[in-house]
Amino acid sequence: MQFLSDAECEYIRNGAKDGIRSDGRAMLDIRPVTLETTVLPTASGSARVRIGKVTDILVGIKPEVAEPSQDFPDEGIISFTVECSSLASPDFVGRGGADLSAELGQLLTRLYTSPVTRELRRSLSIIKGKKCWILHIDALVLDSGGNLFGALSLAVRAALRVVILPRVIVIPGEADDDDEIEVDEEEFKMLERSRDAPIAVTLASQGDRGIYMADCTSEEESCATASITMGVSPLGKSCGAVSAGTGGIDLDTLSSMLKDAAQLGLEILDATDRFLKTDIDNRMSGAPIVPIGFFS
Amino acid sequence: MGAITYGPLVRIDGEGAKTKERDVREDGRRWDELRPIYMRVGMLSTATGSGYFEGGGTKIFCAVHGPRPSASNYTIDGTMHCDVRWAQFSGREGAAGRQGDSMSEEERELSSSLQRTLASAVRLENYPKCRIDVSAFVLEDGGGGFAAVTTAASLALADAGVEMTDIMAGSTVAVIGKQLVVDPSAREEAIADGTVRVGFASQRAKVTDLMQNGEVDLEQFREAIKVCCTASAQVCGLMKECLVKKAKKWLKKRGRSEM
Amino acid sequence: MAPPPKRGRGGGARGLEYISLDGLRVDGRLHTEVRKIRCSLGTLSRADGSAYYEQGNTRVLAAVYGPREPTGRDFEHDKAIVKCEFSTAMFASTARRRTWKGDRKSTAAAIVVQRLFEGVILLAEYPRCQIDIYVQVLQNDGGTLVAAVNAACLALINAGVAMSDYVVACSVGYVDNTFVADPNSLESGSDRPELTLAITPHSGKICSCQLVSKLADDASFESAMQYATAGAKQIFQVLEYEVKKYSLGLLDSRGMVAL
Repeated sequence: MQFLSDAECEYIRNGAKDGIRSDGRAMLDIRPVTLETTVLPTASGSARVRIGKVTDILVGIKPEVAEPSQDFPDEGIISFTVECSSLASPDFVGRGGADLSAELGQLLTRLYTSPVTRELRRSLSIIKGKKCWILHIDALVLDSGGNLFGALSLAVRAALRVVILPRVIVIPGEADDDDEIEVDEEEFKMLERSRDAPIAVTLASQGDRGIYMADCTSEEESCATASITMGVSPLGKSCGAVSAGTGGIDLDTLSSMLKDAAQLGLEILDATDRFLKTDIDNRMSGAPIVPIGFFS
Repeated sequence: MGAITYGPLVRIDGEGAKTKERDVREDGRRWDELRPIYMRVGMLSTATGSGYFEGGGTKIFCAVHGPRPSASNYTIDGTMHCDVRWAQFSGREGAAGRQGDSMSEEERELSSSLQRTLASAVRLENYPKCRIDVSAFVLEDGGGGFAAVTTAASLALADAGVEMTDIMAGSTVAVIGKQLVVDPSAREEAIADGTVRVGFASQRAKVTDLMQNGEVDLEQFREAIKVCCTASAQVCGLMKECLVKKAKKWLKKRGRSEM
Repeated sequence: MAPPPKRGRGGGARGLEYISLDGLRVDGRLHTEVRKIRCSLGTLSRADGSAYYEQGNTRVLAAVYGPREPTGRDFEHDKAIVKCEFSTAMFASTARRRTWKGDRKSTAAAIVVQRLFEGVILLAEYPRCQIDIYVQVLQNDGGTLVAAVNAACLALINAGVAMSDYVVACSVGYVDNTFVADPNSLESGSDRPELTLAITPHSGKICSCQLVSKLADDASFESAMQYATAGAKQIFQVLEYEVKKYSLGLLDSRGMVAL
């Protein structure tokens, strides 16, 4: 958390009133996003997202065969663990980042338990009620410069898009309960329905009626009075939303915030999907991928 | 003791009210009806203030302790600590069979959510070096538990005499198919495609807390928020009545004339 | 331990041939060679100093915050204190393991790094200050402590903290009756001796020396030390080159030197 003096806050808020931000963006502009997939050889799917060369998130997915939950026997499980590395801020030392980690994890869980991703979860089922894939999605916040929710959801989605699972052969047993499975380590498949996965968009209100901004820097975040984070599915539906901040938002502003959040979400989804499509195609065709970021 | 009961169901005069006249819910309510509400303040003698809220099968106790000196560190503004717990017998999934005193992830999240909502109205700048503890206990959760917690906590804070700029109420709307259902029961919540929960400050007409689960259309979402606000505003009206009633009783006891 | 087979015809505990007939290791290195090293300085934006360090498949990020005001209660009036935290990402190894920042191994590694740099940083230059070193392992393929030390050294240089010398670490493993510099996770195991050495390359002093398991005699310890020192010198060349490149880049960006 960054603490700003009153004067600095005033500067940001007055700028916001006139639709000007300190880095020259318009209110609903987002910073340049760097997205890189399959960065970790030890994970089945991974992605790294950087926003504005500041916020930096690394996500790795490890699949495992497990038993499905009793409530949803025909669905696989997606479980999230978010860790805020001390690299991002000395405040995260020890248990310091635990609250934020829990908050980020809760939001991801909320996004991925909505009916929007039901088909994706179903595609993880192997034998109904007996075996399913559990995807352990581990996210690491390496650097935080605002818009953690957005960056995190983007990284998770990208990692899900490129994750590969080994093919599983079900060997029928004599009785119904005796079915066994064999994991074929030679053949892999991607998750077809991962394109249903949502992303989160955060809009922060700066106190005045109708004034809100997207993709806040940490300075802008710390003087925002209230903010809304909304999960946007590729169909433009809302799949989980939470508010933060103590300022409160009036109804009209809130209503237009939700509309803008949904639209912005769709734009981001569209752009990332276009990128991911070429990225996956390139990898499939074996074209050389030039790593970026510090992995280069 | 101030207590207020509303036997007849509170109606929301929304636009859709007339068109859906014939749709009746399981418990006989129309889609835009709240469950019968009962609220009461000041029934706990050890707490500075307390509130009880009952709406249908949802029953919440909330106690406020303080403002009292903060033992830990010096702060310019007062601090508020909220603690929301579901009783093991509350009937909420996951609450039964829980072991120990540790809070579940959800309870922790809701506690911080409650803290945010309340802090938007409490004048914490008037309580330097102090802390206010709000603890809510859900006796029975028949749907809309957390929204009711907001209402009960707000009542308790008012009863405790904590300075507030506003009074808050919470309400839930479930989206079932194309239909918005106000104040859903636990069963309705379970079958809903999505739920929207709003904390609403009536005087300033501001949404102080928003939470959406499941999947809802954008249009439905916006409509649901509006409906939530209308419902909350009505509940706020009842809360005020309840508090005034208590204040009058208090004055009478001390032989002061009616205000 | 069973009598080892003839040198060069390995058959380790895992039925793996660690050193081929040509004298090459599993990843094609000679026994004196360290893995490919890549590193960069100033990778993170918020830290005062940061570095990315990659040694084969082991990848580590380090950040330095400070010298700054002490966050805790303890400080020294005449010198700085060094604090270190070491954590491993959950996806770092092939098997997923839930690790905690404060687990035994991480704490042990953190203490080694802290002690090491306490000896090299000119602490008296920064009275009443605190210098935090955070190391995050992104991928673990053996030799995380070595990578942590080297990365921390680069991060401290990036932060501009005054040090008397570089600190360079290198480890030596022992497979198939041969010492191997910088063993990877296949070559290092709990049943085999491994020596981790940290030296200051200019003065040639030993800052830290850790031996896991046991070596046969003095002579083999001597030769292990030689391997480690030689490995550290190889690594040092890379570090120095990278630091010079980074510094020249900085000077160039300020127009102080024409590249």
